[in-house]
Amino acid sequence: MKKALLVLLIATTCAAATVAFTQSFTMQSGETRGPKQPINFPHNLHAGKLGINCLYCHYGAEKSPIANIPPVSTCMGCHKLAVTDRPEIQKLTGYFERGEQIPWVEVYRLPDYVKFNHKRHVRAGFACQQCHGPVQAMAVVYQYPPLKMGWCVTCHRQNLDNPDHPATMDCLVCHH
Amino acid sequence: MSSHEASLSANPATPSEHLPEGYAQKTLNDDVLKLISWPGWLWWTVFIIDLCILGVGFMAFRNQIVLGLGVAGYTRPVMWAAYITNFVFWVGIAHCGTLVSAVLYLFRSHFRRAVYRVAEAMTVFGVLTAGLFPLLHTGRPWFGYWLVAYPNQRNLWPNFRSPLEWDVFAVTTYLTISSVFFLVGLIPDAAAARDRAKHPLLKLLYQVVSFGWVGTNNNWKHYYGAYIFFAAMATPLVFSVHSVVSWDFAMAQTPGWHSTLFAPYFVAGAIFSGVALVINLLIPIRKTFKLEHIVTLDHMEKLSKLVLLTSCMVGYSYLTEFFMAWFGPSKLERDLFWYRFFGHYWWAAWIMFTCNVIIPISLWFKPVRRNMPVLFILCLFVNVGMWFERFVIIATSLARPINPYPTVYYRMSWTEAAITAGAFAWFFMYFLIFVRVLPAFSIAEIKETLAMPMRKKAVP
Amino acid sequence: MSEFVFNRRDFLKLVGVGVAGAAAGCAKPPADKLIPYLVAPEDILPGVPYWYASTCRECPAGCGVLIKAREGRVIKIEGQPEHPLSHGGLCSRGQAALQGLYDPDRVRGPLVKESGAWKPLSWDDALKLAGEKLSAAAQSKQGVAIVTGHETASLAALAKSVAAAAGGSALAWEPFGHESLREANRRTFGQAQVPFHDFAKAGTTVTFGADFLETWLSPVRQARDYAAMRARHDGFVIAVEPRLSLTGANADQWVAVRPGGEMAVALGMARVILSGNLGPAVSEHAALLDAVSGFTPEVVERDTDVPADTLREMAQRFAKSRPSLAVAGGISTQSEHSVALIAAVNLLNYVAGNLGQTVRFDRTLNLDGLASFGDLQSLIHSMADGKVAVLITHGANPAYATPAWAGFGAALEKVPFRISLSSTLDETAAGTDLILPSLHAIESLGDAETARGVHALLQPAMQRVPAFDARPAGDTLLALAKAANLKGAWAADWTSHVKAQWKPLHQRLGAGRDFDTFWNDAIRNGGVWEDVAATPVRWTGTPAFATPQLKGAGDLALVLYASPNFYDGRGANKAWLQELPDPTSKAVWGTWAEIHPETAAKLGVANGDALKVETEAGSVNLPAYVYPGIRKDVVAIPLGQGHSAYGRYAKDRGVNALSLLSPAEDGASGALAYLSAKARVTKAAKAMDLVLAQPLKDQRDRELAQVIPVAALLAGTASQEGMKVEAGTGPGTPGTPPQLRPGLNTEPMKHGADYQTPAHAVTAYEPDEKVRTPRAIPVDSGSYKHAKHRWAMAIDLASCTGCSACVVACYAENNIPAVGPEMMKRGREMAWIRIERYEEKVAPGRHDVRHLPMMCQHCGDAPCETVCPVYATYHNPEGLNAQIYNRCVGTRYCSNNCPYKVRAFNWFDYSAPEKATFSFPEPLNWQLNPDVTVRSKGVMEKCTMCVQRILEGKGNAKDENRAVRDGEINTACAQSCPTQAIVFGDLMDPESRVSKASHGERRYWALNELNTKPGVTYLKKPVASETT
Repeated sequence: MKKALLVLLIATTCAAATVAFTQSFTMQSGETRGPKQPINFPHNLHAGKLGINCLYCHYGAEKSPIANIPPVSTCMGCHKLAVTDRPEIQKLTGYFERGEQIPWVEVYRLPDYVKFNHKRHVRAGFACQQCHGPVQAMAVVYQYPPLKMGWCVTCHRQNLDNPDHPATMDCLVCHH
Repeated sequence: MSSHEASLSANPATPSEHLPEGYAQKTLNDDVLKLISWPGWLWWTVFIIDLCILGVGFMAFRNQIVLGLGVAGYTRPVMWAAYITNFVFWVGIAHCGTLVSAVLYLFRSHFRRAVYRVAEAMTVFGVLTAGLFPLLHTGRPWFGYWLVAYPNQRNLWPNFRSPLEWDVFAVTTYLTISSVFFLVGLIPDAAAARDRAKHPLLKLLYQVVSFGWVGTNNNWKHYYGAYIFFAAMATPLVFSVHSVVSWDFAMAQTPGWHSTLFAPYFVAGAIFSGVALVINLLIPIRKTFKLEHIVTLDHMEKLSKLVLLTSCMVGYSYLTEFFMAWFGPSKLERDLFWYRFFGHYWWAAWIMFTCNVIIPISLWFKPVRRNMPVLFILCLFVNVGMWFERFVIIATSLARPINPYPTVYYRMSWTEAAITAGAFAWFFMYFLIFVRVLPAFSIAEIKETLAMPMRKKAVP
Repeated sequence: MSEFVFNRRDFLKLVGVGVAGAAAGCAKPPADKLIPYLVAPEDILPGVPYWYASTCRECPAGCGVLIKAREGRVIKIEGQPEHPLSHGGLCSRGQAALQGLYDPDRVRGPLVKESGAWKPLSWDDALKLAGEKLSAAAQSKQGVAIVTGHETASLAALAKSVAAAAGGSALAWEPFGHESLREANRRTFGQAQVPFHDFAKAGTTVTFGADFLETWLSPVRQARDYAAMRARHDGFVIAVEPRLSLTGANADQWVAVRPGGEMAVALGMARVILSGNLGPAVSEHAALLDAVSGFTPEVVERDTDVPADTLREMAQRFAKSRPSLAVAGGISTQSEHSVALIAAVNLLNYVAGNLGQTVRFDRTLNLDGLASFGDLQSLIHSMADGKVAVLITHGANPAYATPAWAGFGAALEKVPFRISLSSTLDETAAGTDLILPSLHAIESLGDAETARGVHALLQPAMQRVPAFDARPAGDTLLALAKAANLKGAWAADWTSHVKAQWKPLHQRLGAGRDFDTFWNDAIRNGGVWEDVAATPVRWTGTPAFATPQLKGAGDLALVLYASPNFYDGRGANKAWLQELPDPTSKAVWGTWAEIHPETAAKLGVANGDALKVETEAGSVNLPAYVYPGIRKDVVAIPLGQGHSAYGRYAKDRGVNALSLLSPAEDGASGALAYLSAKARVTKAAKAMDLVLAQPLKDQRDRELAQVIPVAALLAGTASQEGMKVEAGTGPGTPGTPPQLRPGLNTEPMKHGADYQTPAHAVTAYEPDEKVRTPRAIPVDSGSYKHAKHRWAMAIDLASCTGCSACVVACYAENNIPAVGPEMMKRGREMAWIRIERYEEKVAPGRHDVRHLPMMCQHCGDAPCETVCPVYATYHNPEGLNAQIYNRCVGTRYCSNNCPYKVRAFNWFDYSAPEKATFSFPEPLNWQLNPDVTVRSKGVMEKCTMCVQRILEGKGNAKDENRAVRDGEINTACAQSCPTQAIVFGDLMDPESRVSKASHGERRYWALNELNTKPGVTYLKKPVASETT
């Protein structure tokens, strides 16, 4: 009787504790595959094999807080001529000629109350891969980092005393 | 000879505390355990009504969560009012239990025997009720757990400088200790109940809470050891917890809150209201269950003396506050205390003063102390008064901000009224169940006043 | 940059991106699609704001503005620093223009009225219909009339030519047209102009009911000049008016004249000056003295209740401190003899020798084309007589802004076919048959010459809001002309018409540039400015002087005044302006009647009790506002509310007091006489609620708003111990002795002499004797170690006029919800900055009203920070008191512990579209600033010192890797302030304006005895000693 009770008590306490503890750490695993895009654009081909600079298409990243999705015209810049016979490219031209914009599916999403400034990080000399992972090797882009606050804070703390670009631990910088 | 028996011989129980001659131990068990039986219509009606009120309270809370805290009467500058008032009120209630059972135990005052179980139960349920409010009054209760210091991926900690954070620790500690103390005290009686229990579920319950008590000498030895140990542990909490609660206000620079007097003032007030409520609970019980011979008039009178004492302390605190406001340098304080009694909430202040200071004066007279109906009503007044004391301290101080731009007055909304009523219902729900399920009086300790079966007369 | 052009679909895509940002804070499901541009417009980059120079059209003043657009959505309007009139300031009405652009009640497309109900139709059908009617009218010479608002350039020309071609007439009409000003100047100076009043130069300024800080002529420009005058400390302002207006509240002396007595006072002063030869020699001395001989001080005292001695004193002061300035012609004094009043004031200016000094005819306000109320009436008559077949209205709302007796509404019904180009369904539009909605000024190209030599341009700062299928009014007019095939050379479209209009300017000011360059430059600067020489004027003749007699039975004079928030009522459908506390009464969302405490006592009413105000013309029920700043024999009511149409915020709110007027106008100028009636005021059963944001105007000697005698300042005796800081020893500079290093001497003395206070711990604050024990312990590690700035503010109470422009600017910048009257009544105002008004003493002759802009003080030692259990509010490395919304649990302890009570709590979900409390109904939510979180329910919020701007500014500095320049980062409130009373900057830079201001001799800190070490330093208001 007594023992049973004791075991019961301890068990429940431990269970509760573990739940609380683990819950506070949950992150989605980096390996989740990315979503299906309207046109399966292979980053591994463009960024990897062809070695196109990220900033060629996502030119906003170094000029603006927002790293823009390239306008369809940018794609057409090459694909007016390049490999126009491929079905995916024909899809693209289709969109362009119909004057429709491509409904890309969002891969990275920060919560609404967080502000992230691409310009600052790119200009501080961080490689895109540092956060976005080996995009040049991704056939389908997936969310590489957990995008949890702990993840941001860890990096910021490491660069706290970085002589060139001291990072800050000030909440207000991202939450305002 | 256990320390306890020593204490008995050290200062004998007064004759009036004796149960009638030839009162057998078994009859005592019968008397006390008869409460544990299938309740009658009266109990059920009360219980059902109680649950209805509780339901209304929950609906109001749901409404508040869906729509936002705006459904409460709060406004700038009065950002705290009814909920925090309730919180402080119930924490205060929770104090008397430990005082009666632990402190009086250490001080060897035997009148506690008959009453402390009820007081302790009240304590535990009081804390359970109080605990609701800090959550309930926040804008986003679903994030309440952020106040708990636990390791998390955000690498964030709560702010240990904040008195609200201290509350979290104070209240949880108090809940733990008081419930443990309650359970420990319950062991021998639970065993007694267990041995009679018919219903399998009840039997199981008693088996659990009696921790396999068999009543051997060894059992008793450890029992008294543990009991005095927990009593010693609980005693400082009586004073610390409500001091911490008082610092929610004393630590702020708001005029009317910013005072070093608050800690003792709040503790006295807490015991004041607590004892009053114990009386309010005991009088109906001893009447309905015909236990006047167990909880005697003397017991009640001693309790009411405790009320009188604390009433004087509270009254003294009031006067000190006013004296300091008048005597001190701060024109803000002076302005505020004038406002308290003659400003927008004058009525609240006068209710507080009348109920807590003027009415209890009548307790100086023995007839009043020994007249149960009168005492009952008087204690009701005390509780009303103490509720308003907290309201006056919180709401009126805030309603007179240093910057006079926001001059808007707080008016209690239906939501707050419903939730306040719900809180009382919540408390009485527990208590009603307790009365019919657990031995409401300490058989074991009362027996000590009985003639031992071996000897022919009671302990000298 | 030129106006950017990209097609509507692109714009929608942008919105797709934009909304994700705008929805920030609302608990909404993720926007799961990312919509890129099809073709990226070359000058648009998502996430980067673009600024477009333009001109404000919220009132005839026409201040220059810079319009901020993000992702193609306009989100903010600010004053343009280079503009010759406004110099970077912008008033509350200008700030609120955004809510006109995104007005949820705007007309969504052409509408035609069929059997009393509006029915949408296509533009082509609409134009066809209108064209037929117009041509029919033109052929049959039945008469066509076009009524526009105050148009001064291309549109005016176009309207004229269209009307002419249709054989009709065009009328540009404004409710506040200042007809009498022009007429009086014509009679006295031979110039039908509104002169340039130089308040900056004036020594003594006397205003005869001209509210030059609120609505009169060009308030922003005048406020700026007023501030310049105040900066000299030797200026003196006298307000001669029966009711203490906001302008009067800022004056040093209040002369409570009997309504209509202003003229006598002016002439009395002139007489004193002439008879005493106090002024310069004037050739017409004898004639003038003769003209005013009747107005001896005693006579004046008898007629106006102005004591003879006061009058003499005023006159002497006026003549002594030359150049002085007297102004008149406010709405509240516009009576049947307003020309006489203004003529009298002109005479006063003339005899005091102010002509050509402070009263100049160089940059005169351009009201030339403006029709008088008389002209409008003749139109109304011809309409009533059926002489008008087609009426086209644009930008004017006579149905609301003229009193019932003028009979516009009735006459309108007589017109067979009525077309409105209005973008909102206001009272006039509601009475028409066809609505061809026009674009808002922000969306369309346009031009204006509101003052001589100021050729301003309006450029579309965004594609038109897709929800509203509107067109530029000019295009519509052209299209109408063509559809009705009226004879005339019609331009291809509006743009080319405007350009054509600018050809002559190009000839004159082109300076060798070809037209396109000239045009683009002009667009970039928001116009071209040319200096104009002053037309020399002389005294041409003394008109007849007559005092107005108020008609009616009542015992109180009825004073109607222009609302500082709504102007003539056009602002009434803007939630920001409705929720902006009136600068005088601090009332919101309604109308009220101001009466003197004694009058109130006689009637037995208190604040908010119902009153019945009755005149011959009619009666209205209003809540009473008991105001000591008004004569016992006067009841005052603000104009601008009481709309019967116009939109959800304006409709059926308050009372339109024009209904109390019986027929009366100024014969000389044809101006409507607002001051013409007596009223009987009685207690009534019920009226609307009086919602006061600040119920009490008494600061309970808390010394929040402090003053200092001017005498002390001029004598230099004001500087107190430890307040003087030697050059180069600003806060934080190494080598500053500790006792001079601000903020340090309240900290534990545990540092060596070479210790430098970390930025976050620096304040300009120095404790007074009352403060004993120190508390702040500077943090010396992490981000706190590297911080280089301490952001702070200095607010000069000398130049703060209480106009409240900053409040609306803050609403616009920081996504602050307007919560509506019910919430306001419960004190749930969300404003981050507010203007507290304290009336120390309000009595004729001697009054002391103080305005105190109050926002989060960003204390160096903040009470709110220590009590938050979850660190949702804390002290940031750069000295800001931060509030992290998504960490806030909502215990509200911080607000309880904030002595300034500047924290606002989100009681309900103001940001959730599905909730009834949602306060950004589509498309108002387009205005939301994507850089600022939209707060959800249950969290605390407060002033952040526009941290988003700070970050942006620091970012820009980093990009050019240089230090942040002083003044480069500015908060919304400071930017908008017409008088530059708010200075924002970095305390760590000893040379910054804020450092300098924070160490002046007038500085103090609100509630400094609490030792909160505020980051906001106030500068005491200097008051002429006789008024304290």
